[in-house]
Amino acid sequence: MSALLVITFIALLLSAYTQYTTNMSIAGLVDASSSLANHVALKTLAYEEGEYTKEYVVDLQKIPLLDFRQEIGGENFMFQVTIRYTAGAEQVLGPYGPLPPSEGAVSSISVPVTVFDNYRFETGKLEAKVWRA
Amino acid sequence: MARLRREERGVSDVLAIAFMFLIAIFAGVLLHAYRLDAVTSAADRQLQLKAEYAYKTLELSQVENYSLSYLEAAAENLLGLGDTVVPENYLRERIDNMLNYLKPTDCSIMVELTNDNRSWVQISDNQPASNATQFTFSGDVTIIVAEAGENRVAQVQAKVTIYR
Repeated sequence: MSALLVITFIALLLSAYTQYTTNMSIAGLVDASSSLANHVALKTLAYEEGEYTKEYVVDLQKIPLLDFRQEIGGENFMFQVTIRYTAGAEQVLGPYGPLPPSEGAVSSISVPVTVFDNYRFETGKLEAKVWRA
Repeated sequence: MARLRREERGVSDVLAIAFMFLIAIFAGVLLHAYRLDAVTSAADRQLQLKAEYAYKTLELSQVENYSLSYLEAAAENLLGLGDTVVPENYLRERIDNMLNYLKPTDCSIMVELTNDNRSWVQISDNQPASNATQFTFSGDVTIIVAEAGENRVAQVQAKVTIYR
């Protein structure tokens, strides 16, 4: 009987550990997608006006500069970006970057941004799909 | 004379074993609940980020056909300046469209500007439930009011809230 109890407890422990690692892995991926979207909007694609960088404003001319592989917290991630904005009708640019894997976890995030297009600041959205490389 | 054999289990033994199984099950539930909220917390952090970005988008992007940003135009209307650049009805319609375009899935988004006793409130959907989780980002919009003699600086408090 005590052997059965010990086996039950070990099985519970293993199951709980598996669930814990899965949860932490998903939470890490969700946080990585937030960080990547933030990095793209505030740095990589940020519109530059003279020597000033306008954060939260996406410059469409800088899209070719995107590096779709990034290291965050010692882990490598790949991502794909789509930009939507409303200049009259909705314009959709992208997706840019590699295709997400058909298997494995992919985290998706869409953040509001301002898009600089044709000398105007338009309302837009930056969508990123992120997965572990 | 009745004799107790060592192998026979009494009621107290059965109760002790049942109690140990209960403890094992309780421990299992506790172990499975450990850091169960990690994914929810990460999703909450995303919504907080989206509230910040929604505020910045309202602050930076220009109203269609005008060169003013949404928050500047709303602040001008709120202050009741005589010669507002963007008409109120047109601005309300544009902000409605914008909020519906920007709101995250299954969430409502509200923009609120206040100055003294005046306020300008617009929300993407109906009023959210009182127990809805809120993610807020706020700031100030500064408007320079041209007055006879000298210019005056007026500040309007702006707040963007995402309800889930």
